[in-house]
Amino acid sequence: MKAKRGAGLRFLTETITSPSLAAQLKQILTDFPEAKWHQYEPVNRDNARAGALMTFGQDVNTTYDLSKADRILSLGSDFLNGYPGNLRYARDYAAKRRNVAQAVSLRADAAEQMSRLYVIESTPTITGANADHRWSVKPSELSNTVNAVYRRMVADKIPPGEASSVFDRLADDLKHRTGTSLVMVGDDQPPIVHALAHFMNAELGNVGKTVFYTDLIEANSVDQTQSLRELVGDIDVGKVETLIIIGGNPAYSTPVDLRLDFNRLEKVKLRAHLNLYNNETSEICHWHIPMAHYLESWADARTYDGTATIVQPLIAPLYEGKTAYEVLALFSDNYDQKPYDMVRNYWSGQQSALKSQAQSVSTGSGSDRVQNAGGTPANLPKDAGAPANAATDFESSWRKWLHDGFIPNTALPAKTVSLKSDWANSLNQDAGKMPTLPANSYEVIFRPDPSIYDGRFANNGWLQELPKPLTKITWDNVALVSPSTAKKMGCLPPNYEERQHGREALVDTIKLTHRDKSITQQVPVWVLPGQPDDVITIHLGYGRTKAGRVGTQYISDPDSPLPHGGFNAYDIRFSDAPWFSSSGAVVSKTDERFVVASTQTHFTMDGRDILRESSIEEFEHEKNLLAQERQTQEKELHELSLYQDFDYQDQGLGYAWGMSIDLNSCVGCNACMIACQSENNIPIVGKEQVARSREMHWIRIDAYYKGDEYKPEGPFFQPVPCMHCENAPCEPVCPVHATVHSTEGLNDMVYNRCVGTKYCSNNCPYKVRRFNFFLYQDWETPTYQLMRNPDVSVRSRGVMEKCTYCVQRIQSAKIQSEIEGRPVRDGEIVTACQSVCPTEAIVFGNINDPNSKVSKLKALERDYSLLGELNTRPRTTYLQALRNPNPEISKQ
Amino acid sequence: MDEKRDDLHSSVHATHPVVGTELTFGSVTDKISAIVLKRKTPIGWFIGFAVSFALFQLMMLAIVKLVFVGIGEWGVNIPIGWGMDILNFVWWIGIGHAGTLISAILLLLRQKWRTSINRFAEAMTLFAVAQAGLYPIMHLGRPWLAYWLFPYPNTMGIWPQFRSPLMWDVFAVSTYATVSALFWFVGLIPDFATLRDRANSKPFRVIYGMLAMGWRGSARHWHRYETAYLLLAGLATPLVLSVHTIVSFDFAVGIIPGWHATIFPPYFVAGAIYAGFAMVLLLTIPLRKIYGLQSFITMRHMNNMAKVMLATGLIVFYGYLIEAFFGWYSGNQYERFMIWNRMHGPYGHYYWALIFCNGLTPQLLWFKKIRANLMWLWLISVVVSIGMWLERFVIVVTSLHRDFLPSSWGMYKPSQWDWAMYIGTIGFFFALLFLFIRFLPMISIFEMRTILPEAEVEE
Repeated sequence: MKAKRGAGLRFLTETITSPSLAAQLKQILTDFPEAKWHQYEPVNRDNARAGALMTFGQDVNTTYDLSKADRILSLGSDFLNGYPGNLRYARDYAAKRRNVAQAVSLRADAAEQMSRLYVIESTPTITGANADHRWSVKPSELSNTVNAVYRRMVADKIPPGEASSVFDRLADDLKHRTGTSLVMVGDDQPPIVHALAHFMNAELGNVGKTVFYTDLIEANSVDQTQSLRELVGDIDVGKVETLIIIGGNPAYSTPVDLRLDFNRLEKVKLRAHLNLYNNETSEICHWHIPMAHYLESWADARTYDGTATIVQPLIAPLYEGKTAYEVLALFSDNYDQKPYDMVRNYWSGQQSALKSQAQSVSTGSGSDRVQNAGGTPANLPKDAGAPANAATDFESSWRKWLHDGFIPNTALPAKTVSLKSDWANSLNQDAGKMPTLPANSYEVIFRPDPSIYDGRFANNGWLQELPKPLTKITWDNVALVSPSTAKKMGCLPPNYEERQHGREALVDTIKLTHRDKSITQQVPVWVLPGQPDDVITIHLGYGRTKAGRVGTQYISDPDSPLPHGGFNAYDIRFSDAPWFSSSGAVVSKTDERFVVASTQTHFTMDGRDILRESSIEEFEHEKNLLAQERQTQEKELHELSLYQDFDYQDQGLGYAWGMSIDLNSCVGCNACMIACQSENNIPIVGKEQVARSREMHWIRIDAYYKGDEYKPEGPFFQPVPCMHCENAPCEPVCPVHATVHSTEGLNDMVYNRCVGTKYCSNNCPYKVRRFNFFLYQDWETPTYQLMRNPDVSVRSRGVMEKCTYCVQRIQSAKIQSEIEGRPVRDGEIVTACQSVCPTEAIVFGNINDPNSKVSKLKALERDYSLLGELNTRPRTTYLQALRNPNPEISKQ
Repeated sequence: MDEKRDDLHSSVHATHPVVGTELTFGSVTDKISAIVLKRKTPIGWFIGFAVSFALFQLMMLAIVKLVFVGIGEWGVNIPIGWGMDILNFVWWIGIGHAGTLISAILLLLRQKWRTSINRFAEAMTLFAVAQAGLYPIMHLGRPWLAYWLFPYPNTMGIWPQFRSPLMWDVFAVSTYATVSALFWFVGLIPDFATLRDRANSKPFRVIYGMLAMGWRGSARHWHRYETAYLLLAGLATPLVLSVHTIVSFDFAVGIIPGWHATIFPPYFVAGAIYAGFAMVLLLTIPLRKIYGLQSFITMRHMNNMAKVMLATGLIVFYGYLIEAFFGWYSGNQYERFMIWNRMHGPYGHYYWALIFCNGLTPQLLWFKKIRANLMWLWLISVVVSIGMWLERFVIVVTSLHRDFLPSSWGMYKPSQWDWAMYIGTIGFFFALLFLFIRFLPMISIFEMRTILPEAEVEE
């Protein structure tokens, strides 16, 4: 190949943010000048790139600072969940609202202080669910809507009093917060919306305050669809002889008109594929190279703001997997170089560049705050500048980076970009465009799945069984439509009552055709309140034909066990319309119905006091009443008992564990569910068992809508772990003492003693107990043994289980504190759900200590007990959610 | 003597004597013992036994599957942790109430009409309790550890939890089963002696001889027997009330709307007697016909049992009404929803079928003509038995499936293995009954003789 200068050699990778891997690839391209590097990922930022080019004439990476944003307008940006940097954004967003909400008594100007989130989007997302105002707009109308907001914003002449539409008022509200407002936009929005967002942020003076433009974090940013198109073109004319596919699954996930299927790839003489899974692409390549998982290998990467981090292995490769470094090294002289050396050498070479960067201005976003908050000294060692001992200097820096987990001061500096002189033209060109939809057809939205993303996580059982945040569906994808669109299609809402199996939902199916392609299977139709009319949303990632034991689509037997694995949305996704297609999908209802396994069937509270949520204004009105009610209730219920309260002060070390969950902060992202599953060795049970309502999650996120299905608010989210009731209804009914109260107030579950009467679960008003109806645990597979937490019992068949407040973590902290001869410090024990919560909604601690964080939260006037009227006296209490709607808009 | 006979056959009962007037000491013994010893076993017996034994095997299969694979075979889930298992347990236990009531309470109340049906009713009780007893064991996640529910001394130093109604169940049901079995066996001893004396073949003589425990019919034997029997009757009487009271506590102690109700104990006890008598009627009507026992089990019995059914049926119906009333009157939104959901929820048709079966159908028993019509009585008994099953379904399942938090609501459907187990227990029940009819005197010979006109000597 060297002789041919690499002619016919092609690399196809996913988006690469690893500086060292990119350097390696670039070196190869220098060595083989005729070779080409293509990048394609089904969920890419081509539109953001195009939008930036339209606005600035150059591609930029946009980051935001939500800790300074008082008024946020999200244009289809799911920044609380599925967005680069969402953890930081969600944390900043929640912290800002919490600071207001957690004042002991709300200040008079709370509504002014609290941030306000406006969302204009098409498919409902959890960001939309958390918004103070949400509008659902058809994708074809979104840019016009945004344009209307923009025009109001730039037009000085219109006096504020004459605001006619809600969007005018929205624009006014943003305009009053110059420099502390923020317009965010989703990567899947068309370029014009990106451009409009850039204009608005410029107009509002947010750039440099809440919005920052930096260089790209991708090592080599390209228009990925174009890149793929070029590769396909080359293959089709027979120019490609060797194709090395590093990661990804292009045989499955490429647009249907650029599909790298078998017929196309047959024209390539040698094809090799490096991937974690033996998947659809491996099947049609000559070589499948098993990839080392990132937890098995050395690597580096850049975060959303550019901060570089060194990826370190936790374990030697279990199955002798190879990293991308090792595969690419074959194209160099040092073909046996190890990933560790490559990463280290790369950063060793970057050291001088880093030092100069350390002096430069920080972005104000991201890593500098991480460093300040993390408690680790952010400065490089004092002797860093001394050139004499450069080797030892690097060694100590390297060690520090590994310890800290990131390389300080590598966040990309904010750069000043100016609007293109002809930007107004581009605006005018696109804005008026209003596609006309053929009659009786529907707009289609493609979205990455909230759990399994673009399909890469399809073989991950935890994620397959994780209920989707809004629909609570597991194991499948569906076509989301609005209630009236479903009616129009002749499809009914999910029927839970017909088959009567747990939470099995029978739904109607349709045949979905887009242009000349159609999805081979019947597509189940799911009615989602909040979806715009005449728009169908389908999620990517399902319909895998070769994903592994868990992820492979299973359609054969229509009866039992239930078919699962969804349908392949890529089959009707075209390269020119990857996210929205307004060219119209044709739908015909089929006679077959499909069984969907969801974990929640009722999404309204039916007037019950379960999830408290109100606007700040309402709360001010009702808070005294609520406090009074709470006091009388506590007093009355207390007097009911003949017994004295248990004195937790007098027991052992005087701990009484409790939890506070702030519904004002919870965004419903599901992270706690996975953390709990991982920490507590919770098995997955499969679709058929979920459909029978036997899923095992110890913590679940309940979702409730307010209003009717045509004009819904929410849903609002409520994480529900075990309440650890003081008067636990489960305890007295167990005939064998298998669930008992500890002296620290924990409701303990003794697995060994449990005989499995299920009476405790029947009597639990919160229904948080989970039962091992079968032997759900896999005791045989060796990797699963490595997967499990050694501190937590693995439960067998026939026993009840439930949230323990991570008792193993409590015990280890207590042991540590006893060794050190001190009480457990506040914040020392962090439950698994708490540790991953991006918005810090969950706080755990000792409620005997009035100064602990949890005690202080429980003293807030927003604190309430779920089903407190039952006198269960739960240890887990909730903080009421507060909304901050715009009074001008609410009035309307 | 004539006075007493007149009393016994007073004008009220003139048309329905307790015992056929043509019977004598000799013919009573002959007729009853012949079923066991002399008469050719009818072909119907073999068919009936074969079918029920096959169903019994189905139950064994269901149990084996359950133990080896897990309780997930059944339809239970979270939130409906109890389904067919507990509802069938309660159903069988309810059926098992008539026997003791007839034997013990009616004995103490000196209701002579009980004599010809008590043996059979007791056997039925015992067999029904055996079925009921299977369920609490099999519904456990780990049935092989069922003995942990007993307070036995162990190295772990752990007692069962005495606050749990399931614990009380263990005592209530096991006591009830023991006392019923003893009562039944003690009552059988004199008749075992009769069979021993009349058996033609050696093995039968030996077996019945052993069971007779050396009964020779001496005055001392009779004296001790009478004392023991009366004592056992005294012991059994409170059990009639206690067992179903405690079974009702399984629910009433719970916090779930639809369970948490103070009316449950009396309402359950009445329901149990109701169900028990329905089952006795259901079984005796065909038996009496097949074995020609019309002179032993007369229309008087039928009439009386129908009246007991009517009385208890009214109590049960009152229970349904008052449950609904309290659901509304409590003003508690969960209770109100529970009643609304029972009537109009996805299981609403179960509720209305229940009202039809248990509330309306027994009203027919007000009519004498219907009480005298065996076909009607039998049909009503079938309807009531179904109604009692529906009642337990409504209580157990519809209360659980929608409780406090709408997020955790779910549905329940019994699996094929639930049905296999249920049908299997019915098979087991009938298999035991067939064996009983074939090998034991289904009517108490010696007690029948005491109510014959011949027995009424002047002292």
